[in-house]
Amino acid sequence: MTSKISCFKLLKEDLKSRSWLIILLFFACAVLLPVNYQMQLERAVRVQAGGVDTAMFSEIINQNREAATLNVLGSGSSVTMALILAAAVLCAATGFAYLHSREKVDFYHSLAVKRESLLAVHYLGGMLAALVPYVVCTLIALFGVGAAGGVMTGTLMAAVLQSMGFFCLAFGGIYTLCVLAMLLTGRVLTGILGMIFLGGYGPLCFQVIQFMMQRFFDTYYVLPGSDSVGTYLSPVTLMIRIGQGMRSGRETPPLMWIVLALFLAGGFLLCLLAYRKRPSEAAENAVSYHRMESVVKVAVTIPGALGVGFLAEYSMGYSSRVWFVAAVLLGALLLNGAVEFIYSFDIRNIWSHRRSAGVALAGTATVILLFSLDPLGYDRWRPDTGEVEAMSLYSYRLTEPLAEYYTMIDVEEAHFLESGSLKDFMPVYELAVEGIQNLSDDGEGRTGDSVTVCYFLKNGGRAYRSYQVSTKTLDRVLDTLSQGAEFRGKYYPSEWEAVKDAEYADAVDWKNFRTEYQTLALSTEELQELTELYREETRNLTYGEMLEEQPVSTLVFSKEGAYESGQLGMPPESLASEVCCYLYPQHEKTLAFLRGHGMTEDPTEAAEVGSIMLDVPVPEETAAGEEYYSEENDYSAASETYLSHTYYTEEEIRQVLSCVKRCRYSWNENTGAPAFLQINYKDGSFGQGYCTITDMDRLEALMNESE
Amino acid sequence: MIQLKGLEKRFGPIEAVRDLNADIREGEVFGVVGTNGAGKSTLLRMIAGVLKPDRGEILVDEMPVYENPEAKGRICFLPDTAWFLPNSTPAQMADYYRNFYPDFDKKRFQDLAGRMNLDTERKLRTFSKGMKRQVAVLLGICAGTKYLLCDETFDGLDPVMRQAVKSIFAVELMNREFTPVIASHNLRELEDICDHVGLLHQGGILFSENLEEMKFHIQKVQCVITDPVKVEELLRELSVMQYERRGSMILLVARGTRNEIMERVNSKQPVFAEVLPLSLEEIFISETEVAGYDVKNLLF
Repeated sequence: MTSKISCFKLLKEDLKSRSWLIILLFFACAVLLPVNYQMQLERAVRVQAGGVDTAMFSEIINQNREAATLNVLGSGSSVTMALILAAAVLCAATGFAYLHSREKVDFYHSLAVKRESLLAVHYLGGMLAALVPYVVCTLIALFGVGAAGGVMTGTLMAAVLQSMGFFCLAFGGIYTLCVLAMLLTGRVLTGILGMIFLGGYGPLCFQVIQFMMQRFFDTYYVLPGSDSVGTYLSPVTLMIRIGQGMRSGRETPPLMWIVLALFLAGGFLLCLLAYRKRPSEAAENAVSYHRMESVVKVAVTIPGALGVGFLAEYSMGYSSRVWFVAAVLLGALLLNGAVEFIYSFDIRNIWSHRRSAGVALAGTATVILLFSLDPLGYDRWRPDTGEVEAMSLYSYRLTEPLAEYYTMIDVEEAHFLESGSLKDFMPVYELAVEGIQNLSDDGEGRTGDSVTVCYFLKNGGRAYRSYQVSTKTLDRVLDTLSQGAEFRGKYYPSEWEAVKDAEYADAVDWKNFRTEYQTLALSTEELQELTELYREETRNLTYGEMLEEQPVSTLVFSKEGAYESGQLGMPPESLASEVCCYLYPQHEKTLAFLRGHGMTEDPTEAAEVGSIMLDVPVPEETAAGEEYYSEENDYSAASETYLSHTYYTEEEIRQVLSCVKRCRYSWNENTGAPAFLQINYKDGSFGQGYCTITDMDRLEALMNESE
Repeated sequence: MIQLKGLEKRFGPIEAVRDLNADIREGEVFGVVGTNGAGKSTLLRMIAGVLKPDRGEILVDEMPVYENPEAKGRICFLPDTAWFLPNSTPAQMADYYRNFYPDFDKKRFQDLAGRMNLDTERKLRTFSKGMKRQVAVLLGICAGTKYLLCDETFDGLDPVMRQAVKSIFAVELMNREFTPVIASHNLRELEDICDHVGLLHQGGILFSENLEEMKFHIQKVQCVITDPVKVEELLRELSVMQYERRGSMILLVARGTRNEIMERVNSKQPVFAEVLPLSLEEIFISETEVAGYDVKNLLF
């Protein structure tokens, strides 16, 4: 007679045997979700915000509670991510540890149950063991704590539910990979190592490749903020990226969602295949399939050895090809031995499989050679002009005459490279030609200014390269480009969103070194008029014209920001994003408008100054520089250094002020950095700014006198 | 019936089972004997569907067994080291087995455990090795399956328990379709339980025969014949498997029934002649020596 076994009964027995895990996960979820949420909500209302009215205070509280909700229950919660990871590992290990025990394999595989059913039962058991506690506790937090506490709005509830769905999907992908690791191995220890391998190998390999590219290729460039291909190679990195993206509002490519779902579905199919093919005698072997051992060893050793090389360089603090290669080879030997030890737990066997060890070492050496010799000519690659549709560029010098550098945080270089494609690209192409010519054969030291270009190819592809070019060439090219409307339309601040969508405008008078903004009380129409004036007059300026001039004022466009976590109790205005655009004498109408709407020009007078400190950069070629950079001083100077002098008398202050002219910050290899002035006014206020020295002789005399 | 056809199984460089052919008939107690590493456990695991043969096939009631729930449902496998749920009692294990063997007879289990003085509410981790084996055997018997595969289950049972299990087997054999297959490295233990015994050596079956048939057709005779010519005639006339002379005493093992062999011996006017009891071990040694193997060192 045959016995028919119910899968439902098997599932029930599986959950019963893992009841301790379910209780543990319930406890963890309860503490980390509803309990933690309640505590964060209570903390959110403990705000000290003196000087704000009741309505503002209430607004602050509401925003704090919203932030607390998203911190605990939202998709960016690192605590939830850690919980998901731990649960995936535990559920996979407990559900499939029977495959790593001969006695248990004898029992389960002798039952009248197909392997697919066994897989499905244990897989589903693990899913339920983790997801039920998580979902239940999230719902308790959402409705029992949040809604009951009057925190929940429809939008917030939708965000939390969306996050819950996201974490369930992420758990599915990671858990499936962990199950696969247990199926591919025969011991719990190697199973857990296998989980780390499957979960981290792709991204880590990609990171190693990036490091190699950066180390060996001078022109290699990674677009800031871009999603690395490595992110797609693991459900763990996908979870982190998508979760943080959902939290910050950063767009998530749909492909990421698809790949995460594929990890779940495709991973399960792989698990099915692996279990069907898995020999029962694999229990208590390190790896289920004997032939996998060598493959895994080589796969781990090559990138691992390269990683050891980078670690060695990092700890040394400088790059040395000799030490890098030595560390890599040593790392290869050690990793080979370590993997063999994990397989056999016998130290005598660490050099037993010499052929695969040889392959690993040879592979590592080949990778180093390929990168060192660059047989494909990565650095010297340049598409023919016929293959190029357009080009874009970025250099810090590009924005130097346009706006204060710190405001570029909001307008990243990625923006210029992605959106600044120029069909009239030949001037940019010339930069690439010079950049390639400037590549040094010995790989030592790059001089000149850095410029990054993007080739928009006719075949739809894009390629980024970073070059070093002379300041003179760069300035000339930028001036040439700025003659064209296309360049001005894409690169000038007048076209940035931060300017076009500004909600406020302030002015800074450059005749006065005080750093306070002069707030302009403008109506919406007046703000629009100001913005249009500024944009129109800026479009008429070329890069060269701006370089030759110095700003006479700064126009600050700003917009209200949103609360981020950790900013409890701060008024909204303090979170505004802003861009500080330079105004030149050519901005006549703009300046006139500003003067007519409240901007005052109040040059700094010596009589109002209490003390003035001037930091003057010392070029190496001067006598002072030679002494400073001398061996007696242990060559302790940086590439530039400053001599500092402080003046207290009105006469000295007057003389100093007459020798300097305020300027924007600018640095290049020819001129170095500008001087820096700090002023303490008698009324207690403070001022500072960069300046050029208009009369060096007089200033030196003054310095000598004061010494 | 369980049919084993051309079975082969390797573990890396080790050939555990090679070209193994045998039939296990229903209603027989089949013993598989062999030294350590002969392939007994591997064979049983293949029959149970745990291991997949590299070559050949295993048919249980004419159904291939590997990944076939219908065939596997007819088998209960008791490995050499039984697995029990952590911190469980025999009663809990019985309940657990009932999930996987729907014909499991819990009442009978309780009854048999009581007779063997096994406390079903006591934690199994407090049981001795022998007691755990007893529990494993009872679980297997009460599972109610047609075939019961026991891998060295009887090794370690005391003679009383062995006899008790033998009688339980006899009851099961009488009451239902039941075919136990018992693997052991001890011929003497199998002798009084098994109907049919197969000798496994280095992965292959050297010898597989029904015990009664074996004993009926092989006899050991001790006699004294003074005339050496008649001794030579006797040796020619009989199908001698083993011959030994100790002084004037002749000791021989020959094929044939008792009557046939004694008739031949008596025709030579012996001074003295008698048939001696033949143990399973002696039969095996004789048969395997004929086959060309010196297996004295294999059996103990």
